[in-house]
Order: sequence, then structure tokens, then C-alpha cells
Amino acid sequence: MNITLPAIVLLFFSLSLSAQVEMIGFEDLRPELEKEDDTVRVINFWATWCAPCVKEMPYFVKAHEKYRDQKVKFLLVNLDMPSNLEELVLPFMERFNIQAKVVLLDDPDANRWIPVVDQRWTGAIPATVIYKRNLRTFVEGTLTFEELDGYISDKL
Amino acid sequence: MIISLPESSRARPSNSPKGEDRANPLPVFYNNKGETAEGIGQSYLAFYNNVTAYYSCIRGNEQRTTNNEQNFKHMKKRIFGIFGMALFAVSLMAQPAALQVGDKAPSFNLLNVDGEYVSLSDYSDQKGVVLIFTCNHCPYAVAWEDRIIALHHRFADEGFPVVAINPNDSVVVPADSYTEMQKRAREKGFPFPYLLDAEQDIYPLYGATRTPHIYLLERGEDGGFYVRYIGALDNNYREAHAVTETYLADAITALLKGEDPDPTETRAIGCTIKKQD
Repeated sequence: MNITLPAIVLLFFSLSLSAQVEMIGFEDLRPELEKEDDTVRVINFWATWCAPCVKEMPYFVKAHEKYRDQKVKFLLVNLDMPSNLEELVLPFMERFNIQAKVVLLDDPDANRWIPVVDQRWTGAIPATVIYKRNLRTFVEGTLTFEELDGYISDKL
Repeated sequence: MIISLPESSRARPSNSPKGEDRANPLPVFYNNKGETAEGIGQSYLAFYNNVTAYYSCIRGNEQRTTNNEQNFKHMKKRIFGIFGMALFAVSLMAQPAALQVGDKAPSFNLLNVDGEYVSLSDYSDQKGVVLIFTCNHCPYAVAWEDRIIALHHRFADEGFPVVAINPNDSVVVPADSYTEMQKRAREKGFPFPYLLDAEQDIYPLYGATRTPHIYLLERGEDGGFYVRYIGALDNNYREAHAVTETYLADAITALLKGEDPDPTETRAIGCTIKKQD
């Protein structure tokens, strides 16, 4: 009994985390890059093995919290191997307290989709798109919180 | 020993196919290629537990372009006109333009894992060179490693051997140190040179931003090497058997037939090249 309850809680917790991370192909992601509404969208490409991605993740968490009540949507596009979802990605999300939406982009044919995300992207990660309609910022490399905050607020 | 310094690297060659329209040095300003200091991905848990300490010591530059910055760049253009050559010279040293297909490849003379120096001009008896910026630690580099070895075995005798260059700073990424390179080359039995860009002054001349980043070079009639293809080895880093496009092998095959590669450029996800501040 003493063990069962925490076990059940843990199970539900991990299930809810799993449910948060959808595995998608690029065609599922594409609409997120082409919205025409008045919401600022922040789309960050990252992986758990990528140190500069890990470095900037707290800034995305902080910005997500800061803009929670405004028209700003975050999408964290994970590029880990799908087989590492349970073992690496979910614990990482828990550890960094990531509340923003995370998807795992399971689409290894990157040559096809990298230029669609942004023509300037050479393929190194992290990479971040921040846009509202035709106001568009693309960054290949790490962001500071101040930079991220600035790129969001100048589009609000 | 062959001393080969960048006879071609600082200036746009006039005999390059795209020479005319790329002769203007201004794109140097636009080409704000940045490299971000990155750590090791492989010892995931280790750096995970030391995130704060780990990141306090690294900092990167970024490539960023915004709509507003476009205006700023126009301003830079004017500044260029005013300050002229001095500024130009400084900017060239700071941020060389990335090579394009058709450009002459900068020479290099770098230390191999066997203790000898290897220069691009050592390959003047070959049809070309498959130059690959790669490293030990990057999961993508590791994923493509066996296919790089196989490609060398397939094309070296036909005149297109592989030359691998590790562009990473070993202080930022200890797993990419010269000793670790030697170890990796031995373990995998690399049949090609694995060179260290110790001063980190070669990869910026090529405009490499990630590992792996491939430059297929063909020797021209003037004896120089020219870039014929830039990009990825194939279209699936994860599984060799799921590959449907063998970009690099197709490009080499085209050159062997006297044809132009198509496509001439592809992209792939990769690890940022790591340097210190």
C-alpha cells in the first residue's frame, strides 16, 4: 500500500509527460511555421545532447512563464532519436521544468525541411524562429534571455 | 614539407565560375557566420548534473538576422564606403565569406593523427579530395562515420580520397582533443588522414558551421582545387539502410563522368563547431 500509491502517482505522471511529447513528421510541423494570426510564435530546435541547446533552455522556460498571459506560443522541437524519448527527453523536460509544448521531430531527411524552416539555416543546432506573420527573426546559435525576450517583445 | 598558405583563401579567385558576381567583397559583412561554443553531448548525465558550472565557462557568438538588422546592414554598407579598405581588411580577418560551389578551395597544412603534416597540395596527383569537417563527439558525426570510411574505400582508388578535419576546440570539447582523435582513428581504423585544425583558422575559410560538413573538391586545369559540392553525405543520418539519396557518392560519380553534380548543395542537422570565446 505504501509503495502502491506513489507508484501509481509516478505512473500517471510519466504517462502525462509522454502524452505531452508527440512524435511528428515535418509536414505536421510545417503549419506551425506559417501561421497568419496575431500570435507571436517561438519555435526552437534542440536536442538533449546539444550543449548550447541545454544552455539556453532555461531562458525559454523563463520566457514561456513571462509571456504566459500574452499572445505568445512556444514550440520546442526536439531532435533526439525517437528511441531516446523515454530515457533522455522526458527526464530532461522534468528536470528543466519545461511546461511549453514539446514535439519530437522524427524526420531524418533534414535536407528537405531545413531550408523550409529558414533559408539561412545551415543545419547546426540550436536554431530558433520567432515570428508573427511577416515579422520574422531567425537565430542559428544560442540566445541569451535578453535577446530572446527582445525578439519576442518587439513583435507583440 | 610543403608550406601552403592561403594563396586563394583571402581573395575571390577571378577564374572561379561565379567570379564576376561574387567579386564584390561586401558579402563578407552579410556572412555573419557564427560558431557557438558547445560542450560534449555524449557524457549527457555528467553535464546534466553540472549544467550551471558547465555553462558559466562557455559563451558563443550567433548567426542572427532579423528584419531590422537588414536595415543595419545597409548602414554597414555605407560605413564600408566611408572607412574603406582598413575596415575591409579587418572584416576579412574576422569573418571570411563562406565558400560557394565553384570557388577555389583554400589550402591548409595541418597535423594528422600520425604526427605528420598533410596539405591540400599533397593531393595534386588526385582528381579531387572529399574534405569532411567532422569530430569524435558529435552523435551525427558518429552516425555517419562508417559510411565515410566506406565512401573512402569506394572512391580513393578512383581519385577522390577522403580527408577529415576536426575543427573543434579541445578545451571546450575534451573528447575532440588530438589524443582522442588518435584513439578514435586507431579504433575505427580510419583509412584517411584525420587532421586537427588546431588554430581553428581553416574551417572559417571554408565557412563550415557544423560537423559533419562536407566539401567535395575537384582539381582544376590550373592545378587548384575547386568546390563542386557542399553538404551532407546522404539523406538519413540515422539509418544507412533507410537512405534514399546518396548525395555525396552521386556528386563524385558525376565528376568522374565529367558531369556537374546535382544537387550541388544539401543540408543536414549537425553539431555546432565549438570554439572558445
